Amino acid sequence: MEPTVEAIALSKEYRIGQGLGLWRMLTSTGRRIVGRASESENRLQALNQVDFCVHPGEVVGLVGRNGAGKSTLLRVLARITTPSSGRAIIRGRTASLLDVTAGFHMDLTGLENIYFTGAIMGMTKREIAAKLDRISAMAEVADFLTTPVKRYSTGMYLRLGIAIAAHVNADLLLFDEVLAAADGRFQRQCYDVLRAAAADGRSVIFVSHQLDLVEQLYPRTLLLKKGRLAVDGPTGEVLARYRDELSRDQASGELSIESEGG
Amino acid sequence: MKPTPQTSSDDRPVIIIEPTSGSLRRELTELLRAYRLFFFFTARDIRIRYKQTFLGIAWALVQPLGTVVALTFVFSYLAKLDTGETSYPLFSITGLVPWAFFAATANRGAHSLLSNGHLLSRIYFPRLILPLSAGGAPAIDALVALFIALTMMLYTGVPPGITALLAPLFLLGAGFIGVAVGIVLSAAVVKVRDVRNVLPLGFQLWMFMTPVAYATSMVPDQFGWIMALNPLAPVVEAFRAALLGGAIPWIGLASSATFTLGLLVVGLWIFHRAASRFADIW
Repeated sequence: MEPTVEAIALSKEYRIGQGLGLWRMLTSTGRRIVGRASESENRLQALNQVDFCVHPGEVVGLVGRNGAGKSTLLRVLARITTPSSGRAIIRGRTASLLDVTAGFHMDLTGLENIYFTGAIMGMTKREIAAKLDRISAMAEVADFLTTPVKRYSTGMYLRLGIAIAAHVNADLLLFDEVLAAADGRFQRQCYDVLRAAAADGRSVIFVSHQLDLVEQLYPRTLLLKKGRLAVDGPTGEVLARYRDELSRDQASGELSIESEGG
Repeated sequence: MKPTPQTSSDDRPVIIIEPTSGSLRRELTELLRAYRLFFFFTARDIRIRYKQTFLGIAWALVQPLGTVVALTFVFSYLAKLDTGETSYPLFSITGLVPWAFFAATANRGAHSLLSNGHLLSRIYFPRLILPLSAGGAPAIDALVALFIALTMMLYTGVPPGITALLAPLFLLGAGFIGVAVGIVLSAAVVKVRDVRNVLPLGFQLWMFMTPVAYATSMVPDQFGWIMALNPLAPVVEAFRAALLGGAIPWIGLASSATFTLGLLVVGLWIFHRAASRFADIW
């Protein structure tokens, strides 16, 4: 079977700190006239020639430090933003779960939010109705479906988002660090859902900073470093190398604060 | 570049992610496939608006009635505007219904991308849904306002004639112009935020250039061209004529329809070109 995701020399460049403005336009033109403009300083290569494939049924972890380009990669694959160069081919339906509660509206009830978020993630009304019980049971909000989500606890709110996302019928699931705030029991529940998805022949790409979690869940991991795909291989090897780098950075006392590339 | 098949060998849809926005046709196809979202967005808009309000949907009655009272006080009582046999409240509400539908649709459409920025930057869905569904909630308001207008007519002894059946069609036309304007403005607002600051003034001026509170026949000849340029003017006049009787300006409607179609095509093209960058710049 052909791969679900094929990324070919995928690159994304951001211009930083710039914006349209009369004042800024005048000063930058002025600087260019006196020859002190430096275009390259204003550019950030968030993704640099990234190549990889993900096959049906594969669950892939994506690790890297802040600003390595993990979120940018997911955003490009999710079609939220276009790449600057290169291309990606996606076979099948994508569920972009970059922020599972993004579609929530505080004033709407749990039930109303399930329908809206489900719809925007690509489910039909009938599909949502059929999965409603399972979603509310997994999120443990069955008794609060008619309560506005702004009255939910942080945990309930997040669980509801993840539960909806987990039930989207897609060939490719893109998760961005959604489990960090969930408790252990719910996390395990989510693993089960992800494993079931993979067993079903679906592909999952999952960004995480919790390395022990990545170790348990994904046989294969991609390590991004400053926008480049540094390593792509078995999780054990990749994480060993990543941990090595992290501790080396720490030892040299280099606490560089980087901004998330996005 | 070599053509890419639309489905893979195993029947999964194939999506190519490239630096360009892709074809407008593909975007429109995806829009059609996601038509259900239109209803979900509309339902959400309506629900949110009246959540935790005491009067709920009854608020849809307050806005048009309040405006009619204000217009009647200023134009009829103070300025003594002569609207012939038609009472001024009737005259003004029949102008107000299509205008309010247009203005609310265009205005909400213009802000639709910015106000849903958190969605744009996190979930993919056909972006056109946003300015399109901006007309959903105003359509409900327009129906309520139409109902008020008909009630006022019956109450004051001016029963609607057979032409009144055309009124919903003209109302729809007003909403359609609003959607076209909204599509253009939404893309412009994301790109150049200044547009947002101009909008309140723009809509205010537009309303005064539209025969809402007065009739086109009252406009001096040297300003006739303003009416001729305004695609909304014939629609408002036609709506009023359909309800209260009078000549329906068919020629004006035809030019208005042509203009709107042109605007829609240009708007779709601009929107499509900008859509892939919305998440980066919103």
